Amino acid sequence: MRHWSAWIISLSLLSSPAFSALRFGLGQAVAKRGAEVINKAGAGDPANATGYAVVATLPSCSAGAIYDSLPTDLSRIRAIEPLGHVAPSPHTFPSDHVYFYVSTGTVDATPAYAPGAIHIIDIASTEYLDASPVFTDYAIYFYACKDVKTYYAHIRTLSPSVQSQQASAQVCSVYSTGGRSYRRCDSSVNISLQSGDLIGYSAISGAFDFGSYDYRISPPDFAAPARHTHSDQYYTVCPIDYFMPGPKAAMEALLGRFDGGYHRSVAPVCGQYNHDVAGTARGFWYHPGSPNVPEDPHLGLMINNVYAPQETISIGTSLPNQTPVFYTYVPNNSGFVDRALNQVTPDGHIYCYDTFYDPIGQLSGGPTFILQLLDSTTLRFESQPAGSCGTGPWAFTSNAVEFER
Amino acid sequence: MRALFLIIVSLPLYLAAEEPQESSTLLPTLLNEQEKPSVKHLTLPDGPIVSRQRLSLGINFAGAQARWNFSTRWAMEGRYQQGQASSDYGDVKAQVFGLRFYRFIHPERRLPLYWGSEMAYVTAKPESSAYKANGVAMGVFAGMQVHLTRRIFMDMDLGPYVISLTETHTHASATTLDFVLNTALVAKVF
Repeated sequence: MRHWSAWIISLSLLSSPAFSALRFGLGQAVAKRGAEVINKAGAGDPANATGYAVVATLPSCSAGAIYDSLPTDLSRIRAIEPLGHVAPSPHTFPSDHVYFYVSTGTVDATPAYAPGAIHIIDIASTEYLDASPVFTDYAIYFYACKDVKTYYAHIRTLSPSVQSQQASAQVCSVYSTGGRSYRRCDSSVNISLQSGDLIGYSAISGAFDFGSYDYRISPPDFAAPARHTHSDQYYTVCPIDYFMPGPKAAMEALLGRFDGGYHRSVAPVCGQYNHDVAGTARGFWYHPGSPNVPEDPHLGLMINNVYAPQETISIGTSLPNQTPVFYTYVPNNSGFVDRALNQVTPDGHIYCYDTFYDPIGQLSGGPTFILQLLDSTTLRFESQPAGSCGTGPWAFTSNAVEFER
Repeated sequence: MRALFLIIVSLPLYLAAEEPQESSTLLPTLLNEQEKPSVKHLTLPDGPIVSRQRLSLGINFAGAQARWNFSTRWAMEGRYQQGQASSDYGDVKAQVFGLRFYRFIHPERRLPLYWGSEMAYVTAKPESSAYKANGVAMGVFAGMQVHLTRRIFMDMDLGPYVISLTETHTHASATTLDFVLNTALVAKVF
Protein backbone atom coordinates (compact mmCIF):
# COMPACT_ATOMS: atom_id res chain seq x y z
CA MET A 1 0.00 0.00 0.00
CA ARG A 2 2.79 2.40 0.86
CA HIS A 3 4.51 1.82 -2.50
CA TRP A 4 1.29 2.28 -4.37
CA SER A 5 0.37 5.58 -2.76
CA ALA A 6 3.92 6.86 -3.13
CA TRP A 7 3.75 6.08 -6.83
CA ILE A 8 0.51 8.00 -7.30
CA ILE A 9 1.68 11.01 -5.33
CA SER A 10 4.97 11.10 -7.23
CA LEU A 11 3.10 11.10 -10.51
CA SER A 12 0.97 14.03 -9.43
CA LEU A 13 4.00 16.03 -8.34
CA LEU A 14 5.95 15.32 -11.50
CA SER A 15 3.09 16.31 -13.76
CA SER A 16 3.19 19.97 -14.68
CA PRO A 17 -0.24 21.60 -14.34
CA ALA A 18 0.71 23.99 -17.15
CA PHE A 19 0.36 21.15 -19.62
CA SER A 20 -2.38 19.10 -18.05
CA ALA A 21 -6.03 19.47 -17.18
CA LEU A 22 -8.61 17.46 -15.30
CA ARG A 23 -11.21 15.95 -17.66
CA PHE A 24 -14.33 14.02 -16.85
CA GLY A 25 -14.18 10.97 -19.10
CA LEU A 26 -11.58 10.02 -21.69
CA GLY A 27 -14.06 10.83 -24.48
CA GLN A 28 -14.28 14.44 -23.31
CA ALA A 29 -10.51 14.67 -22.98
CA VAL A 30 -10.01 13.41 -26.54
CA ALA A 31 -12.74 15.73 -27.89
CA LYS A 32 -11.14 18.75 -26.26
CA ARG A 33 -7.65 17.87 -27.48
CA GLY A 34 -9.06 16.91 -30.89
CA ALA A 35 -10.68 20.34 -31.26
CA GLU A 36 -7.33 21.95 -30.47
CA VAL A 37 -5.53 19.87 -33.09
CA ILE A 38 -8.20 20.63 -35.70
CA ASN A 39 -8.04 24.36 -34.97
CA LYS A 40 -4.28 24.13 -35.27
CA ALA A 41 -4.65 22.30 -38.58
CA GLY A 42 -6.93 25.04 -39.91
CA ALA A 43 -4.69 27.87 -38.70
CA GLY A 44 -1.68 26.34 -40.41
CA ASP A 45 -3.60 25.66 -43.59
CA PRO A 46 -5.22 28.98 -44.65
CA ALA A 47 -5.60 27.89 -48.27
CA ASN A 48 -7.89 25.08 -47.18
CA ALA A 49 -9.50 26.72 -44.15
CA THR A 50 -13.27 26.92 -44.22
CA GLY A 51 -15.98 28.54 -42.14
CA TYR A 52 -14.99 30.83 -39.30
CA ALA A 53 -11.37 29.70 -39.49
CA VAL A 54 -11.19 31.80 -42.68
CA VAL A 55 -12.05 34.96 -40.76
CA ALA A 56 -8.84 34.85 -38.75
CA THR A 57 -6.85 34.97 -41.99
CA LEU A 58 -8.53 38.19 -43.19
CA PRO A 59 -7.22 41.75 -42.63
CA SER A 60 -8.90 44.15 -40.21
CA CYS A 61 -11.61 46.36 -41.67
CA SER A 62 -10.83 49.95 -42.53
CA ALA A 63 -12.73 52.79 -40.89
CA GLY A 64 -14.61 53.74 -44.05
CA ALA A 65 -16.74 51.87 -46.54
CA ILE A 66 -15.91 48.24 -47.22
CA TYR A 67 -18.34 47.55 -50.09
CA ASP A 68 -18.16 49.27 -53.45
CA SER A 69 -20.93 47.84 -55.62
CA LEU A 70 -24.67 47.38 -55.27
CA PRO A 71 -25.87 44.14 -53.71
CA THR A 72 -28.59 43.76 -56.36
CA ASP A 73 -30.13 45.35 -59.42
CA LEU A 74 -32.04 48.24 -57.82
CA SER A 75 -34.25 48.67 -60.89
CA ARG A 76 -35.95 45.45 -59.76
CA ILE A 77 -36.43 46.67 -56.18
CA ARG A 78 -39.45 48.72 -55.19
CA ALA A 79 -38.41 49.40 -51.57
CA ILE A 80 -35.90 48.57 -48.87
CA GLU A 81 -37.53 48.17 -45.47
CA PRO A 82 -35.36 49.48 -42.59
CA LEU A 83 -34.16 47.48 -39.59
CA GLY A 84 -36.92 46.72 -37.08
CA HIS A 85 -39.56 45.02 -39.23
CA VAL A 86 -42.03 42.86 -37.27
CA ALA A 87 -44.35 40.07 -38.40
CA PRO A 88 -45.59 38.21 -35.32
CA SER A 89 -45.43 35.58 -34.16
CA PRO A 90 -42.23 34.29 -35.79
CA HIS A 91 -40.94 37.89 -35.87
CA THR A 92 -42.50 39.39 -32.75
CA PHE A 93 -39.28 41.29 -32.12
CA PRO A 94 -37.72 43.82 -34.50
CA SER A 95 -35.61 42.32 -37.27
CA ASP A 96 -31.85 42.76 -37.31
CA HIS A 97 -31.68 43.12 -41.09
CA VAL A 98 -33.24 45.15 -43.90
CA TYR A 99 -35.52 43.70 -46.59
CA PHE A 100 -35.19 44.21 -50.32
CA TYR A 101 -38.71 44.03 -51.77
CA VAL A 102 -38.84 42.82 -55.35
CA SER A 103 -40.96 44.88 -57.76
CA THR A 104 -44.33 43.36 -58.51
CA GLY A 105 -43.79 43.67 -62.27
CA THR A 106 -40.62 41.57 -62.17
CA VAL A 107 -40.94 38.35 -64.11
CA ASP A 108 -37.39 37.13 -63.54
CA ALA A 109 -35.65 36.28 -60.29
CA THR A 110 -33.69 39.17 -58.78
CA PRO A 111 -29.92 38.72 -58.50
CA ALA A 112 -27.81 39.05 -55.36
CA TYR A 113 -24.22 40.10 -55.99
CA ALA A 114 -21.01 40.20 -54.00
CA PRO A 115 -20.86 43.86 -52.90
CA GLY A 116 -17.06 43.77 -52.69
CA ALA A 117 -14.17 41.32 -52.70
CA ILE A 118 -15.54 38.82 -50.21
CA HIS A 119 -15.14 35.37 -48.71
CA ILE A 120 -18.33 33.35 -48.25
CA ILE A 121 -17.74 31.28 -45.13
CA ASP A 122 -21.13 29.66 -44.50
CA ILE A 123 -24.07 28.65 -46.65
CA ALA A 124 -27.20 27.71 -44.72
CA SER A 125 -30.03 25.98 -46.53
CA THR A 126 -33.50 26.14 -45.00
CA GLU A 127 -36.09 23.59 -46.02
CA TYR A 128 -39.72 24.67 -45.45
CA LEU A 129 -41.10 21.36 -44.26
CA ASP A 130 -44.75 22.43 -44.03
CA ALA A 131 -44.89 24.13 -47.42
CA SER A 132 -46.64 22.43 -50.31
CA PRO A 133 -44.57 21.66 -52.20
CA VAL A 134 -41.62 21.69 -49.82
CA PHE A 135 -38.96 24.14 -51.00
CA THR A 136 -35.52 25.35 -49.94
CA ASP A 137 -33.85 28.74 -49.79
CA TYR A 138 -30.42 29.87 -48.65
CA ALA A 139 -28.63 32.25 -46.32
CA ILE A 140 -25.11 33.24 -47.36
CA TYR A 141 -22.69 34.64 -44.75
CA PHE A 142 -19.58 36.47 -45.91
CA TYR A 143 -16.74 38.76 -44.86
CA ALA A 144 -14.73 41.32 -46.79
CA CYS A 145 -12.52 41.82 -43.73
CA LYS A 146 -12.51 40.20 -40.33
CA ASP A 147 -14.57 42.70 -38.30
CA VAL A 148 -17.82 42.86 -40.29
CA LYS A 149 -20.03 39.90 -41.15
CA THR A 150 -22.72 40.40 -43.77
CA TYR A 151 -25.38 38.06 -45.05
CA TYR A 152 -28.18 37.50 -47.48
CA ALA A 153 -31.15 35.32 -46.56
CA HIS A 154 -34.08 33.94 -48.53
CA ILE A 155 -31.98 33.50 -51.66
CA ARG A 156 -33.96 30.96 -53.67
CA THR A 157 -31.23 29.68 -56.00
CA LEU A 158 -27.43 29.77 -55.79
CA SER A 159 -25.28 30.67 -58.75
CA PRO A 160 -23.76 27.61 -60.44
CA SER A 161 -20.29 28.66 -59.25
CA VAL A 162 -21.35 29.00 -55.61
CA GLN A 163 -23.49 25.87 -55.76
CA SER A 164 -20.57 23.79 -57.02
CA GLN A 165 -18.37 24.90 -54.12
CA GLN A 166 -20.86 24.05 -51.39
CA ALA A 167 -19.32 21.65 -48.89
CA SER A 168 -20.76 18.17 -48.57
CA ALA A 169 -20.32 18.14 -44.76
CA GLN A 170 -23.27 19.91 -43.14
CA VAL A 171 -24.58 20.60 -39.65
CA CYS A 172 -28.36 20.23 -39.63
CA SER A 173 -31.15 20.91 -37.17
CA VAL A 174 -34.95 21.02 -37.25
CA TYR A 175 -36.81 23.81 -35.48
CA SER A 176 -40.30 25.32 -35.32
CA THR A 177 -41.51 28.89 -35.17
CA GLY A 178 -44.79 30.53 -36.10
CA GLY A 179 -46.39 27.09 -36.03
CA ARG A 180 -44.26 25.82 -38.92
CA SER A 181 -41.27 23.51 -39.08
CA TYR A 182 -37.97 24.10 -40.77
CA ARG A 183 -34.82 22.09 -41.38
CA ARG A 184 -31.62 24.15 -41.49
CA CYS A 185 -28.26 22.82 -42.67
CA ASP A 186 -25.04 24.86 -42.47
CA SER A 187 -22.00 24.09 -44.54
CA SER A 188 -18.65 25.74 -43.85
CA VAL A 189 -16.95 26.94 -47.00
CA ASN A 190 -14.37 29.41 -48.25
CA ILE A 191 -15.58 30.85 -51.55
CA SER A 192 -13.74 33.92 -52.78
CA LEU A 193 -15.74 36.30 -54.97
CA GLN A 194 -14.91 39.59 -56.63
CA SER A 195 -17.10 42.67 -56.40
CA GLY A 196 -20.15 42.23 -58.61
CA ASP A 197 -19.89 38.43 -58.88
CA LEU A 198 -23.25 36.68 -58.84
CA ILE A 199 -24.15 34.85 -55.60
CA GLY A 200 -27.69 33.77 -56.42
CA TYR A 201 -31.25 34.84 -57.10
CA SER A 202 -34.19 35.71 -54.90
CA ALA A 203 -37.69 34.44 -55.56
CA ILE A 204 -39.65 36.18 -58.33
CA SER A 205 -41.86 37.87 -55.73
CA GLY A 206 -41.48 38.77 -52.09
CA ALA A 207 -38.31 39.95 -50.44
CA PHE A 208 -34.84 38.88 -49.40
CA ASP A 209 -32.87 39.82 -46.28
CA PHE A 210 -29.63 41.77 -46.09
CA GLY A 211 -27.88 42.28 -42.75
CA SER A 212 -24.53 43.08 -41.13
CA TYR A 213 -22.80 42.75 -37.76
CA ASP A 214 -19.84 44.98 -36.94
CA TYR A 215 -17.86 43.46 -34.06
CA ARG A 216 -15.96 46.71 -33.52
CA ILE A 217 -18.94 48.65 -32.14
CA SER A 218 -19.88 48.92 -28.48
CA PRO A 219 -23.20 47.11 -28.12
CA PRO A 220 -26.15 49.39 -27.38
CA ASP A 221 -27.81 49.25 -23.97
CA PHE A 222 -30.05 46.21 -23.97
CA ALA A 223 -32.24 46.01 -20.86
CA ALA A 224 -31.57 42.27 -20.58
CA PRO A 225 -28.43 41.49 -22.61
CA ALA A 226 -28.37 37.83 -21.55
CA ARG A 227 -31.74 37.31 -23.25
CA HIS A 228 -30.18 37.83 -26.66
CA THR A 229 -28.74 34.36 -27.01
CA HIS A 230 -27.80 35.05 -30.62
CA SER A 231 -24.92 37.27 -29.51
CA ASP A 232 -24.26 38.57 -33.04
CA GLN A 233 -27.31 40.75 -32.53
CA TYR A 234 -25.41 42.92 -30.05
CA TYR A 235 -23.45 44.13 -33.06
CA THR A 236 -26.32 44.75 -35.47
CA VAL A 237 -25.64 47.63 -37.85
CA CYS A 238 -27.27 48.93 -41.00
CA PRO A 239 -25.55 47.16 -43.92
CA ILE A 240 -26.16 50.13 -46.20
CA ASP A 241 -23.83 52.25 -44.04
CA TYR A 242 -20.87 50.12 -45.18
CA PHE A 243 -21.12 51.07 -48.88
CA MET A 244 -19.32 53.74 -50.89
CA PRO A 245 -21.29 57.01 -51.21
CA GLY A 246 -22.84 56.24 -54.60
CA PRO A 247 -24.40 52.84 -53.83
CA LYS A 248 -25.27 54.00 -50.31
CA ALA A 249 -27.27 57.00 -51.54
CA ALA A 250 -29.05 54.86 -54.13
CA MET A 251 -30.20 52.41 -51.46
CA GLU A 252 -31.11 55.06 -48.89
CA ALA A 253 -33.47 56.58 -51.46
CA LEU A 254 -35.46 53.33 -51.32
CA LEU A 255 -35.72 53.03 -47.54
CA GLY A 256 -39.32 53.00 -46.37
CA ARG A 257 -42.55 51.06 -46.71
CA PHE A 258 -42.51 47.68 -48.45
CA ASP A 259 -44.44 48.93 -51.49
CA GLY A 260 -42.36 52.04 -52.04
CA GLY A 261 -45.31 54.24 -51.11
CA TYR A 262 -43.70 55.91 -48.10
CA HIS A 263 -40.08 57.00 -47.68
CA ARG A 264 -38.62 57.08 -44.19
CA SER A 265 -36.98 60.42 -43.45
CA VAL A 266 -36.67 60.32 -39.67
CA ALA A 267 -33.20 59.46 -38.42
CA PRO A 268 -31.88 56.86 -38.26
CA VAL A 269 -33.33 56.32 -41.74
CA CYS A 270 -32.12 52.72 -41.76
CA GLY A 271 -34.04 51.93 -38.56
CA GLN A 272 -32.73 50.21 -35.45
CA TYR A 273 -32.67 46.78 -33.87
CA ASN A 274 -32.50 47.65 -30.19
CA HIS A 275 -35.48 49.59 -28.81
CA ASP A 276 -34.94 48.94 -25.09
CA VAL A 277 -35.14 51.90 -22.74
CA ALA A 278 -34.49 50.51 -19.27
CA GLY A 279 -37.04 51.43 -16.64
CA THR A 280 -39.74 52.15 -19.26
CA ALA A 281 -42.18 50.06 -21.29
CA ARG A 282 -40.26 50.33 -24.56
CA GLY A 283 -38.29 47.37 -25.84
CA PHE A 284 -38.13 43.59 -25.71
CA TRP A 285 -40.48 41.81 -23.27
CA TYR A 286 -40.36 38.07 -22.60
CA HIS A 287 -43.06 35.64 -21.59
CA PRO A 288 -42.02 34.07 -18.25
CA GLY A 289 -41.08 30.42 -18.52
CA SER A 290 -40.66 30.51 -22.28
CA PRO A 291 -37.24 30.29 -23.91
CA ASN A 292 -35.82 33.51 -25.32
CA VAL A 293 -35.87 31.98 -28.79
CA PRO A 294 -38.13 31.48 -30.72
CA GLU A 295 -39.79 34.87 -30.38
CA ASP A 296 -43.35 33.61 -30.73
CA PRO A 297 -44.58 33.95 -27.11
CA HIS A 298 -43.06 37.37 -26.40
CA LEU A 299 -44.07 41.03 -26.77
CA GLY A 300 -42.33 43.83 -28.66
CA LEU A 301 -42.96 47.50 -27.85
CA MET A 302 -41.00 49.69 -30.22
CA ILE A 303 -40.66 52.59 -32.62
CA ASN A 304 -42.16 51.73 -36.00
CA ASN A 305 -39.39 51.07 -38.52
CA VAL A 306 -41.16 52.92 -41.38
CA TYR A 307 -43.35 55.56 -39.77
CA ALA A 308 -41.05 56.64 -36.92
CA PRO A 309 -41.67 58.30 -34.52
CA GLN A 310 -44.94 56.33 -34.60
CA GLU A 311 -44.77 53.31 -32.32
CA THR A 312 -45.72 49.66 -32.71
CA ILE A 313 -47.14 47.04 -30.37
CA SER A 314 -46.14 43.57 -31.62
CA ILE A 315 -47.98 40.72 -29.92
CA GLY A 316 -46.98 37.08 -30.05
CA THR A 317 -48.90 34.02 -28.94
CA SER A 318 -49.20 34.50 -25.18
CA LEU A 319 -52.43 36.48 -24.86
CA PRO A 320 -55.44 34.20 -24.34
CA ASN A 321 -57.84 36.44 -26.29
CA GLN A 322 -55.58 37.83 -29.00
CA THR A 323 -54.04 36.28 -32.10
CA PRO A 324 -50.52 37.38 -33.05
CA VAL A 325 -50.68 40.84 -34.58
CA PHE A 326 -49.01 44.25 -34.60
CA TYR A 327 -50.58 47.70 -34.37
CA THR A 328 -49.08 51.13 -35.00
CA TYR A 329 -50.17 54.39 -33.38
CA VAL A 330 -49.14 58.00 -32.98
CA PRO A 331 -47.66 58.40 -29.48
CA ASN A 332 -48.68 61.17 -27.11
CA ASN A 333 -46.27 62.91 -24.77
CA SER A 334 -48.80 63.36 -21.98
CA GLY A 335 -51.81 61.63 -20.45
CA PHE A 336 -52.55 57.94 -20.22
CA VAL A 337 -53.85 57.21 -23.75
CA ASP A 338 -51.43 56.22 -26.52
CA ARG A 339 -48.58 57.47 -24.37
CA ALA A 340 -45.07 57.21 -25.79
CA LEU A 341 -43.60 53.93 -24.57
CA ASN A 342 -40.37 55.45 -23.28
CA GLN A 343 -42.48 57.67 -20.99
CA VAL A 344 -44.36 54.77 -19.39
CA THR A 345 -42.62 54.09 -16.10
CA PRO A 346 -43.43 52.09 -12.92
CA ASP A 347 -45.62 54.93 -11.67
CA GLY A 348 -48.64 52.86 -10.60
CA HIS A 349 -50.75 53.98 -13.58
CA ILE A 350 -52.43 51.88 -16.26
CA TYR A 351 -52.03 53.16 -19.82
CA CYS A 352 -54.45 52.53 -22.69
CA TYR A 353 -53.87 52.35 -26.48
CA ASP A 354 -56.74 52.62 -28.96
CA THR A 355 -56.06 54.47 -32.22
CA PHE A 356 -54.23 52.28 -34.69
CA TYR A 357 -52.99 52.43 -38.26
CA ASP A 358 -52.45 49.53 -40.65
CA PRO A 359 -49.14 48.85 -42.47
CA ILE A 360 -50.02 51.23 -45.30
CA GLY A 361 -50.82 54.03 -42.92
CA GLN A 362 -54.62 53.87 -43.02
CA LEU A 363 -56.65 54.27 -39.84
CA SER A 364 -57.83 50.82 -38.84
CA GLY A 365 -59.98 49.24 -36.19
CA GLY A 366 -58.74 46.84 -33.61
CA PRO A 367 -58.88 46.03 -29.95
CA THR A 368 -57.74 48.32 -27.20
CA PHE A 369 -54.68 47.44 -25.17
CA ILE A 370 -53.91 48.34 -21.60
CA LEU A 371 -50.54 47.99 -19.94
CA GLN A 372 -48.84 48.79 -16.69
CA LEU A 373 -45.19 48.71 -15.74
CA LEU A 374 -45.29 46.99 -12.34
CA ASP A 375 -41.59 47.50 -11.79
CA SER A 376 -38.61 48.10 -14.05
CA THR A 377 -38.58 44.49 -15.23
CA THR A 378 -42.24 43.42 -15.11
CA LEU A 379 -44.99 44.56 -17.47
CA ARG A 380 -48.68 43.61 -17.31
CA PHE A 381 -50.46 43.64 -20.66
CA GLU A 382 -53.98 42.87 -21.84
CA SER A 383 -56.02 42.98 -25.03
CA GLN A 384 -59.57 44.28 -24.47
CA PRO A 385 -62.56 44.59 -26.82
CA ALA A 386 -62.51 47.10 -29.66
CA GLY A 387 -63.59 50.63 -28.85
CA SER A 388 -62.26 53.81 -27.42
CA CYS A 389 -60.11 54.04 -24.31
CA GLY A 390 -62.19 56.95 -23.05
CA THR A 391 -60.80 58.59 -19.97
CA GLY A 392 -60.48 55.53 -17.80
CA PRO A 393 -59.91 54.26 -15.25
CA TRP A 394 -59.04 50.90 -16.77
CA ALA A 395 -58.78 47.57 -15.01
CA PHE A 396 -57.10 44.30 -15.85
CA THR A 397 -59.09 41.08 -16.09
CA SER A 398 -58.06 37.44 -16.02
CA ASN A 399 -56.89 37.86 -19.65
CA ALA A 400 -53.93 39.95 -18.52
CA VAL A 401 -50.46 38.48 -18.99
CA GLU A 402 -47.27 39.54 -17.31
CA PHE A 403 -44.03 39.81 -19.26
CA GLU A 404 -40.52 40.31 -17.97
CA ARG A 405 -37.19 41.68 -19.13
CA MET B 1 -5.68 21.00 -9.74
CA ARG B 2 -2.81 19.23 -8.00
CA ALA B 3 -4.58 19.68 -4.67
CA LEU B 4 -7.76 18.22 -6.10
CA PHE B 5 -5.81 15.30 -7.44
CA LEU B 6 -4.26 14.59 -4.04
CA ILE B 7 -7.64 14.75 -2.33
CA ILE B 8 -9.15 12.30 -4.80
CA VAL B 9 -6.22 9.94 -4.45
CA SER B 10 -6.16 10.16 -0.66
CA LEU B 11 -9.84 9.30 -0.24
CA PRO B 12 -9.62 5.70 -1.40
CA LEU B 13 -6.41 5.22 0.60
CA TYR B 14 -8.18 6.34 3.74
CA LEU B 15 -11.22 4.22 3.06
CA ALA B 16 -9.08 1.21 2.25
CA ALA B 17 -7.66 1.25 5.78
CA GLU B 18 -11.03 0.14 7.18
CA GLU B 19 -11.43 -3.41 8.43
CA PRO B 20 -13.59 -5.69 6.29
CA GLN B 21 -17.13 -5.84 7.61
CA GLU B 22 -19.64 -8.64 7.85
CA SER B 23 -21.51 -7.66 4.70
CA SER B 24 -18.56 -8.54 2.47
CA THR B 25 -19.86 -10.74 -0.34
CA LEU B 26 -16.73 -12.86 -0.79
CA LEU B 27 -15.69 -13.68 2.73
CA PRO B 28 -18.83 -15.58 3.76
CA THR B 29 -18.38 -17.87 0.78
CA LEU B 30 -14.91 -18.84 1.91
CA LEU B 31 -15.10 -18.71 5.71
CA ASN B 32 -17.46 -20.08 8.25
CA GLU B 33 -18.60 -18.06 11.24
CA GLN B 34 -16.28 -19.87 13.70
CA GLU B 35 -13.14 -19.13 11.73
CA LYS B 36 -13.91 -15.55 10.99
CA PRO B 37 -12.94 -13.85 14.31
CA SER B 38 -9.47 -15.36 14.24
CA VAL B 39 -8.66 -14.16 10.73
CA LYS B 40 -7.17 -10.67 10.92
CA HIS B 41 -5.36 -10.22 7.60
CA LEU B 42 -6.77 -12.66 5.12
CA THR B 43 -5.29 -12.53 1.63
CA LEU B 44 -7.30 -14.25 -1.04
CA PRO B 45 -5.54 -16.71 -3.29
CA ASP B 46 -5.06 -15.48 -6.83
CA GLY B 47 -7.07 -18.33 -8.26
CA PRO B 48 -10.37 -19.04 -9.95
CA ILE B 49 -13.26 -16.89 -8.80
CA VAL B 50 -16.78 -17.77 -7.91
CA SER B 51 -19.49 -17.95 -10.55
CA ARG B 52 -21.46 -14.83 -11.54
CA GLN B 53 -18.30 -12.76 -11.33
CA ARG B 54 -16.46 -13.37 -14.57
CA LEU B 55 -18.29 -11.11 -17.02
CA SER B 56 -19.43 -7.60 -16.11
CA LEU B 57 -21.19 -5.11 -18.37
CA GLY B 58 -21.48 -1.44 -17.66
CA ILE B 59 -22.09 2.08 -18.79
CA ASN B 60 -19.50 4.77 -18.34
CA PHE B 61 -19.18 8.47 -19.07
CA ALA B 62 -20.07 8.50 -21.89
CA GLY B 63 -20.18 5.02 -23.39
CA ALA B 64 -20.23 1.34 -22.55
CA GLN B 65 -17.84 -1.38 -21.42
CA ALA B 66 -17.46 -5.15 -21.00
CA ARG B 67 -15.06 -6.63 -18.40
CA TRP B 68 -13.72 -10.15 -18.06
CA ASN B 69 -12.30 -11.15 -14.69
CA PHE B 70 -9.51 -13.70 -15.07
CA SER B 71 -9.30 -14.04 -11.31
CA THR B 72 -10.22 -12.10 -8.20
CA ARG B 73 -7.23 -9.87 -8.82
CA TRP B 74 -6.88 -9.52 -12.58
CA ALA B 75 -9.34 -8.34 -15.22
CA MET B 76 -9.40 -7.04 -18.77
CA GLU B 77 -11.95 -4.64 -20.21
CA GLY B 78 -12.99 -3.34 -23.61
CA ARG B 79 -14.64 0.04 -23.60
CA TYR B 80 -16.15 2.60 -25.95
CA GLN B 81 -16.54 6.27 -25.09
CA GLN B 82 -17.69 9.43 -26.84
CA GLY B 83 -17.10 13.10 -26.23
CA GLN B 84 -17.90 16.47 -27.72
CA ALA B 85 -16.16 19.85 -27.76
CA SER B 86 -16.49 22.99 -29.85
CA SER B 87 -13.97 24.08 -32.46
CA ASP B 88 -13.68 26.66 -35.23
CA TYR B 89 -15.29 24.05 -37.48
CA GLY B 90 -18.34 23.28 -35.38
CA ASP B 91 -18.63 20.65 -32.69
CA VAL B 92 -15.95 18.00 -32.66
CA LYS B 93 -17.15 14.49 -31.86
CA ALA B 94 -14.59 12.11 -30.39
CA GLN B 95 -14.68 8.33 -30.22
CA VAL B 96 -12.48 6.18 -27.99
CA PHE B 97 -11.95 2.44 -28.41
CA GLY B 98 -10.03 1.38 -25.33
CA LEU B 99 -8.55 -1.73 -23.74
CA ARG B 100 -7.98 -1.72 -19.97
CA PHE B 101 -6.16 -4.06 -17.61
CA TYR B 102 -7.05 -4.09 -13.92
CA ARG B 103 -5.19 -5.24 -10.82
CA PHE B 104 -7.39 -5.34 -7.74
CA ILE B 105 -6.00 -4.78 -4.24
CA HIS B 106 -7.80 -6.32 -1.30
CA PRO B 107 -10.84 -7.39 -3.34
CA GLU B 108 -12.33 -8.82 -0.13
CA ARG B 109 -12.80 -5.39 1.40
CA ARG B 110 -15.93 -3.32 1.35
CA LEU B 111 -14.36 -0.70 -0.90
CA PRO B 112 -11.90 -2.60 -3.07
CA LEU B 113 -9.13 -0.59 -4.63
CA TYR B 114 -7.66 -1.13 -8.04
CA TRP B 115 -5.12 0.20 -10.43
CA GLY B 116 -4.37 -0.48 -14.04
CA SER B 117 -3.47 0.78 -17.45
CA GLU B 118 -5.36 1.65 -20.60
CA MET B 119 -4.52 1.92 -24.27
CA ALA B 120 -7.01 3.35 -26.72
CA TYR B 121 -7.42 4.19 -30.37
CA VAL B 122 -9.02 7.65 -30.59
CA THR B 123 -10.60 9.74 -33.34
CA ALA B 124 -11.94 13.29 -33.41
CA LYS B 125 -13.90 14.84 -36.26
CA PRO B 126 -15.71 18.19 -36.60
CA GLU B 127 -19.18 18.21 -38.05
CA SER B 128 -18.57 20.76 -40.78
CA SER B 129 -15.12 20.11 -42.15
CA ALA B 130 -13.07 17.39 -43.81
CA TYR B 131 -10.43 17.62 -41.09
CA LYS B 132 -10.06 14.49 -38.99
CA ALA B 133 -7.66 13.64 -36.19
CA ASN B 134 -6.61 10.10 -35.19
CA GLY B 135 -4.24 8.84 -32.58
CA VAL B 136 -3.77 6.97 -29.35
CA ALA B 137 -4.36 7.58 -25.68
CA MET B 138 -2.38 5.77 -22.99
CA GLY B 139 -2.70 6.11 -19.30
CA VAL B 140 -2.58 4.58 -15.87
CA PHE B 141 -5.26 4.93 -13.29
CA ALA B 142 -6.15 4.11 -9.71
CA GLY B 143 -9.52 4.04 -8.09
CA MET B 144 -12.07 2.18 -6.06
CA GLN B 145 -15.23 0.16 -6.38
CA VAL B 146 -18.38 0.97 -4.47
CA HIS B 147 -20.82 -1.96 -4.24
CA LEU B 148 -24.40 -0.79 -4.55
CA THR B 149 -25.90 -4.28 -4.48
CA ARG B 150 -24.47 -7.81 -4.64
CA ARG B 151 -24.18 -7.59 -8.40
CA ILE B 152 -24.05 -3.89 -9.18
CA PHE B 153 -21.17 -1.62 -8.33
CA MET B 154 -19.71 1.72 -9.27
CA ASP B 155 -16.14 2.31 -10.39
CA MET B 156 -14.38 5.61 -9.93
CA ASP B 157 -10.80 6.14 -10.94
CA LEU B 158 -8.41 8.88 -11.84
CA GLY B 159 -5.11 8.93 -13.64
CA PRO B 160 -2.76 10.65 -16.05
CA TYR B 161 -3.32 9.98 -19.75
CA VAL B 162 -1.11 10.92 -22.65
CA ILE B 163 -3.23 11.75 -25.70
CA SER B 164 -1.47 11.94 -29.04
CA LEU B 165 -3.46 13.11 -32.09
CA THR B 166 -2.53 13.84 -35.71
CA GLU B 167 -4.78 15.56 -38.23
CA THR B 168 -4.83 13.36 -41.31
CA HIS B 169 -4.75 16.03 -44.07
CA THR B 170 -2.32 18.58 -42.69
CA HIS B 171 -0.39 16.29 -40.30
CA ALA B 172 -0.78 18.89 -37.58
CA SER B 173 -0.28 17.03 -34.31
CA ALA B 174 -0.19 17.44 -30.56
CA THR B 175 0.71 15.24 -27.62
CA THR B 176 -0.75 16.30 -24.30
CA LEU B 177 -1.15 15.11 -20.75
CA ASP B 178 -4.53 15.16 -19.05
CA PHE B 179 -5.79 13.82 -15.76
CA VAL B 180 -8.91 11.85 -16.56
CA LEU B 181 -11.63 11.03 -14.06
CA ASN B 182 -13.59 7.96 -15.12
CA THR B 183 -16.81 6.62 -13.66
CA ALA B 184 -18.83 3.56 -14.56
CA LEU B 185 -21.89 1.73 -13.35
CA VAL B 186 -21.26 -1.99 -13.73
CA ALA B 187 -23.33 -5.15 -13.34
CA LYS B 188 -21.95 -8.66 -12.90
CA VAL B 189 -23.59 -10.85 -15.52
CA PHE B 190 -22.16 -14.33 -14.78
